[in-house]
Amino acid sequence: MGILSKAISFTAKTMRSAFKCKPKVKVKLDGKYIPFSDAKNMVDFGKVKVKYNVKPDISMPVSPTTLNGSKPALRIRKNNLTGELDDAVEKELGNVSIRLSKGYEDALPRAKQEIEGIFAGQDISVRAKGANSVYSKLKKKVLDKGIVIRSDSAASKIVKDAIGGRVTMKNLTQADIVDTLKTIKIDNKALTTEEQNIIMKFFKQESLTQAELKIAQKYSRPVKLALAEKQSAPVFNQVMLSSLKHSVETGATTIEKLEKSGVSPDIIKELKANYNKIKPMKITELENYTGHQGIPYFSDKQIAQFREMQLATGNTFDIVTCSEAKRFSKSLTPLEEQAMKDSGYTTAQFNVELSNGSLAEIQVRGKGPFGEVEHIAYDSRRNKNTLGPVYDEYQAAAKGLSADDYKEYNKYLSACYDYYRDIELGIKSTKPKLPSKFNPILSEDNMIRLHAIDDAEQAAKKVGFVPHIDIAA
Amino acid sequence: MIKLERNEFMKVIRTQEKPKVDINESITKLVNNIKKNAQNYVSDTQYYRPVDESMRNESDKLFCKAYSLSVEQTPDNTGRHFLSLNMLHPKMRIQTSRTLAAGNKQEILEFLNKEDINKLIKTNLSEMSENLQEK
Repeated sequence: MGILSKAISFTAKTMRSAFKCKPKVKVKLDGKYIPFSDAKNMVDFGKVKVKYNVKPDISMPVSPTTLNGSKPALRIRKNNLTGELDDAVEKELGNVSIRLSKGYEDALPRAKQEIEGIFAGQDISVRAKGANSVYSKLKKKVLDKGIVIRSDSAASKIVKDAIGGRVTMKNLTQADIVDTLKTIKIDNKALTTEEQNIIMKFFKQESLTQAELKIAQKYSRPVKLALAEKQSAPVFNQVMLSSLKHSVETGATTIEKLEKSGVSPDIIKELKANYNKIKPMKITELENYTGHQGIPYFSDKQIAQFREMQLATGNTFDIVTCSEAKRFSKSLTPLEEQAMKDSGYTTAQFNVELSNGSLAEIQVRGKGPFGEVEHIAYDSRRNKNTLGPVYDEYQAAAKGLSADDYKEYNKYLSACYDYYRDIELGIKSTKPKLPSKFNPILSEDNMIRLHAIDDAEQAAKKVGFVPHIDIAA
Repeated sequence: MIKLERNEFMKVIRTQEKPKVDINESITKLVNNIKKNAQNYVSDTQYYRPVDESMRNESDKLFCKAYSLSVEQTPDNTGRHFLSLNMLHPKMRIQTSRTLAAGNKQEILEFLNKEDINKLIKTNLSEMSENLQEK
C-alpha cells in the first residue's frame, strides 16, 4: 500500500513533454486551409498582418514565425506606461495560449480516462481549455496582477483549469425523501411518523393546517440539508477516497494514522477494502458556494470530513465559500456587513492535480438549467464582453436597473435557484414569477431561451470551421 | 462669513493618516482574543455558538478585507472542535478557510498556546492571501 504508483512517477517526464508542443496550425490562403509548414514557404509572415481565428467569431493575436518555439520570444508583461500589452507581447501571448491549449488537447484523453475512472458511475463530461480561454485568462492576470510570463510552464501554472470536468448529479426521488425522513435526527431526535407525513405533504405542496404548516416550516430546512447531503454523497465519497489514496501512496500518511484521525471509519473501511481499485487524486482547492439561505451541494458534515482529511494528510488546501458576516463582524462596518448578502449562486467545485501533472477543475452540479445561464446577469452588469449579440436587449435591460432594482432582481434570481434546487432534491416547487415592474426580457425563462439560441448559433457556425491563421488583406 | 487661509483650509479637508498597524501585533491580539473567548465559551459537553474573533486587514502585504480565527464544534461530536483561520476577500463576496487544528477544548487551547502559533498563522495568511488574489 505504500508503493508510489507508476502514474505519479511519470508526472515530471510528462509535464516536460507537454511543454514541447508544436501546434500544427493551418493558414487560410485563397480560400483553402494550408498547413503552416507549407504556407511559410509561400508567405513572408514577417511582413504581413495576421490573426488566429480560434472560433468562428473569435480571433486572437499570433506570431507565426515564433509559434513553434518552446517558450515566448520575449517576456510577457504589461507596459506600465500604457497599462496595456504591446503588440509584439500580445502575439507572443497568443502563441503561448495556442501551444498550451494544444498540450491540453493532447493530455485530454488520458485526463478524461483518469477523471472518469475516479468518478465511475457518474454522469461526467471532460474538456480541455481552448486557446482563446487560455489567452483571456493569462492576459487578465498579466494586466490586473502584474504577472510576468517567461515560459510556457509558468503560464500553465496560472491556468488552473487546463482540464475542465463536470459531474452532474442525479435528482433525488420520493423514495429518497421517505428514506431521509425516516433516518434523519434533528437535535438528536428522530421525526415522529406524524411529522414525517406533514413534511411529505409540504414537499408535495398539499394543503396543510396552520399547526401543520408551523411544523413543516420548522423542519423543512434541516431535511433539505440532509437531502442535499444524500444527493452529493456518492461524489463526496469518491473525492475523499481518491484524495486519501493519493496521500497514502505519496507517504503523507498511513492507513493506521488515518484510523486514529477524525476521518469517518466508514470511509477508511472502504479505502482498505477497495484500495487497489481507487484512482488517486490530489485536491488543491475546494469551493462550496451557496447564497443566503441556499442549500449547498456539500453539507457541513461533508466539509468537516474534508477538514479532518486535511489535518490527517497535511494537504492544506483552501476551502472557499460565500462570505459569512458572522466570521468577521467585529472587523466590519454595519454597511459592509449589509453588503455581504449576495445571489443564490449555488455550486461546488474543486481543483485537482491529476497523475500526469495536469491541473483540472471539476464542477459538481445538479441537473437544474439555471447554473448555465446565471452568469448572464452578472456579466451584463459588469460590462464583460463575453456575451454574443443575441443578449443585447437583455444586457441593456440589466444594465439599466438601478442599484435598488438590481437588489430586488437578485432576490428573484435567488428564488429561481431555490426552485431548481428543490426540484433536484425531489421536492415539488413553484417557479417564481418575475415582478411585474421588470422588463419581461429579464425573466429566467427568457434567459434560458436566449442561452439555447446562442448555443444553437454557435454550434451552427462551428460546422466545417477549422481554427486557422488569417492573413489581413 | 468665515475666512480661511488656504493652508488652514487644506488642513481641514486633508484625510488624516491612519497609523500603520504591525501585522504581528494584530495576530497577537487576535490569538489572545480567541484564547480568552475559547476558554469561556467552548464546551466539550454541550452545544455552543461558534467563537469568532477577527481583525480588519491594515497591512498592504495581505490581499484581504479581514481575517479571523474561529473555534466551532464538529457536526457529529460535541467534544471535538475545529480551529480555523479565515480570510475575507476585499470585495467581500467570498472567504477562504484553513483548518489549523482539531481536538477537545484542552487540545485547542494548548495549540493556541504554542510558541510558534503567530508564525504559523502569519505563514498561512500569506499563502491564503496569494491564493485569494487568483480569485
